[in-house]
Amino acid sequence: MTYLTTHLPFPSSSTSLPPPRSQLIISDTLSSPGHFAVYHLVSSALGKEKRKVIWVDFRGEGRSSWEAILKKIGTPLPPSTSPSFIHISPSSLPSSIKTTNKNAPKLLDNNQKPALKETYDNIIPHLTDGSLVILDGLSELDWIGFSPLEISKFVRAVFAKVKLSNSILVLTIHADHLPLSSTVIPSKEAGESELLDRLLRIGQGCWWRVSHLPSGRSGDVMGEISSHPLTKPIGLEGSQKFPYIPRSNPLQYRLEPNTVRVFPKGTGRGFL
Amino acid sequence: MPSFTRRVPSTTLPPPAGTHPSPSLSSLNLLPSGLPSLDDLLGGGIPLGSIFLVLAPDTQSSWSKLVERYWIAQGLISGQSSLVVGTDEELVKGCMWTEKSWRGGEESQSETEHEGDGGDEAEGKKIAWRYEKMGKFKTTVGGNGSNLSLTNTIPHDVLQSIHKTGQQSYIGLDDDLTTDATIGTSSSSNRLSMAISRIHDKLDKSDPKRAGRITIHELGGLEWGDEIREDQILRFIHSLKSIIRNKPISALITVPPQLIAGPTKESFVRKLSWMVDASVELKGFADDPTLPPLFPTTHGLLTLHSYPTSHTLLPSTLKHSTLLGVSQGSDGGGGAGENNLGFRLKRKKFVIETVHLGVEGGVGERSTGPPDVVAALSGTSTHHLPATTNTGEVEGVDKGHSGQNQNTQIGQEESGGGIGVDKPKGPEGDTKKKTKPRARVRFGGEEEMSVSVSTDNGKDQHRDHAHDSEHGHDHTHDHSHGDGQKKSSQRVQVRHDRPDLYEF
Repeated sequence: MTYLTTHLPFPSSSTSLPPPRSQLIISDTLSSPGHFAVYHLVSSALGKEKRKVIWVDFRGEGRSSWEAILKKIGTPLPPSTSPSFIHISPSSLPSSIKTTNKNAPKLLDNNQKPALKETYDNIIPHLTDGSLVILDGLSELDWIGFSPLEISKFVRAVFAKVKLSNSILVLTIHADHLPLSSTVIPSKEAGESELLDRLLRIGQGCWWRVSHLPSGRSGDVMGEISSHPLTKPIGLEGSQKFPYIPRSNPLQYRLEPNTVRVFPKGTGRGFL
Repeated sequence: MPSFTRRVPSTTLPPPAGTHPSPSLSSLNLLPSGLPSLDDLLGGGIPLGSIFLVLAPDTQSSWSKLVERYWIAQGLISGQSSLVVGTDEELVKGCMWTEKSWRGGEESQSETEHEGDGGDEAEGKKIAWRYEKMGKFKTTVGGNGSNLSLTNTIPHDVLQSIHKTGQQSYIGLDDDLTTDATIGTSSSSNRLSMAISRIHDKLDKSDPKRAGRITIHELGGLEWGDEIREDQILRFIHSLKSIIRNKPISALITVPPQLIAGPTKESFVRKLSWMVDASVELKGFADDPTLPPLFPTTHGLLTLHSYPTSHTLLPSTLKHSTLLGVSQGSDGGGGAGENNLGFRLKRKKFVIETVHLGVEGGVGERSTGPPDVVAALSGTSTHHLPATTNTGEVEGVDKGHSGQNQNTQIGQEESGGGIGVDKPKGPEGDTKKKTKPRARVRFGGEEEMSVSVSTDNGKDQHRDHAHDSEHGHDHTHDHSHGDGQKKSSQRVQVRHDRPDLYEF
């Protein structure tokens, strides 16, 4: 139970994590990175829930960064030899460079063409019952040469295995192309929205959209979060609903050294 | 010995030479970039294992090369290793160096623009809270020990020794590509892959305790091959990141302007900014001649696209940067937004500073047309910014050097005042005094001005041709210039605190 749980409760036994066999898409923007949302989920999983976490790091963030942050939040990462936290860092290095790390599948095959098969084969053996799989940085994959179609096929394949093992899937993607309001519309490039559209269409879960304030950076409020349920996952009863927080009345958040203050827009008494 | 002693963990290693711990996390070591004001924006410096991107979209300036040289020079001074990819010694030979007679902190004292540091500073008033941490009239932050000065170039003996000891090394891009047949056939991806392989091999052999810097010069430029695609560049950055992430090495990348200039490139700039750890854009005024008069003491505007966010929940930039001004007050109040930033090349150093909007208020008139570039270049103008007290079309007074309208001295980049855009004026305090106008443009039907004034008020003469401007106010042309006395009916605003600007 960390900083987002009270505001974004899920219809699951833990309320801080999405229910099993569902996915959560987290999108963010350059001025308001959404890493804190991922830390919240990981912190819940490692802390109270005691679930296995598999982090597929497409962004190249590195384990030491997470070690420092999660320690500050209060749920330190298990040691690197522990099976309860797996860090997979797919590598875009040419195949001529050999790596010794077994959790670093190559993203380029022997012909220097992008391929996700090796990464997929690397993830699946680690899946155990009820784990949390995080595919972190799908936009980065898109930008280094994979097509949105390939990426969505990869996500579907992983999602299928995730559902079989009653696990949870979390995806992160950058969505700078989305308009912030009816007047603040960024210039659109062809194909930029394709990846997000495809992932949303996979459905069966929820979409958290983290975006910055249209008025620019501020010391008090660093951004907004809205939550949009997607199609219902199989096995979820009718009464259980994913949290719905519209863009018109979003949650606002502020990062602090040890935690994140989250409050509905317009309130903030005690924090502001 | 007291019974309670603080146990210092014995596993803490001292930071490698030339680095310092981050103010947000003591276990994270940061590399200074050589520019203290830039370090402030980045939250103290570049974390080890990160990539820093410098974008300079002007086609006629080389701001990114200047920052590269600072980066390299700082590393060499600190004894760190330096690897330059994509160019040869010329970059390093032109690096700046420290002052010969470095007297410690005294240098930085003389350089800061501390005017009027009165005792009334500590009033406790919370006006303009976001400048709280900055002194009165101070627009930038001071040094953190790096004393690089632009008046000195790297000495010859230092150059020789760094090359001899291998502290400075290079990776060129023009070696033959036929040796490695496993790399793909197209030449540009060849060069990128080859560069990555060579960087990887080089760093594998490097000392794991010694901090190092990599400089990737003009990534995607001519040296790197023809027809480089965006995804190849982004892939290169992704690979480079994976190589340096777990090492005490950081990289600085610059990108040629043609890849990033223009509105269609906005999304590419965003992607680049996501891929790297920190990204700044230095947009000089060379491409747009209407801007310099509005920012008289600045050479360009700076945008911070992204800053380091790893290792801490609250990024160090947001917490500690004085220049950015996005501070969280202790009482949690007044998040009024961030400062506008610009940069300036001074005689001895390059500084990044806050850019102030004019005291008299910037937006006085609605702009009804696009900026008149031709007029700005030729020194005539059809737009005037009103003074605070008059309804006429009179200039505001701090047009300093921009008062050259009626002559054709276009040599300086700052000439051309009175622009048809709604932009704020530059700061009053720093008006540069230019020479008096040399030519007088006469308009038919207008009386000759008998008072010769310097700069600011020279605009009297061509007020007439403001008729065609679209302002819609009353234009009264009261040229009462008989004896040079400024009567109250005259529309020129006189600066009584600067009598030196006028000649009676």
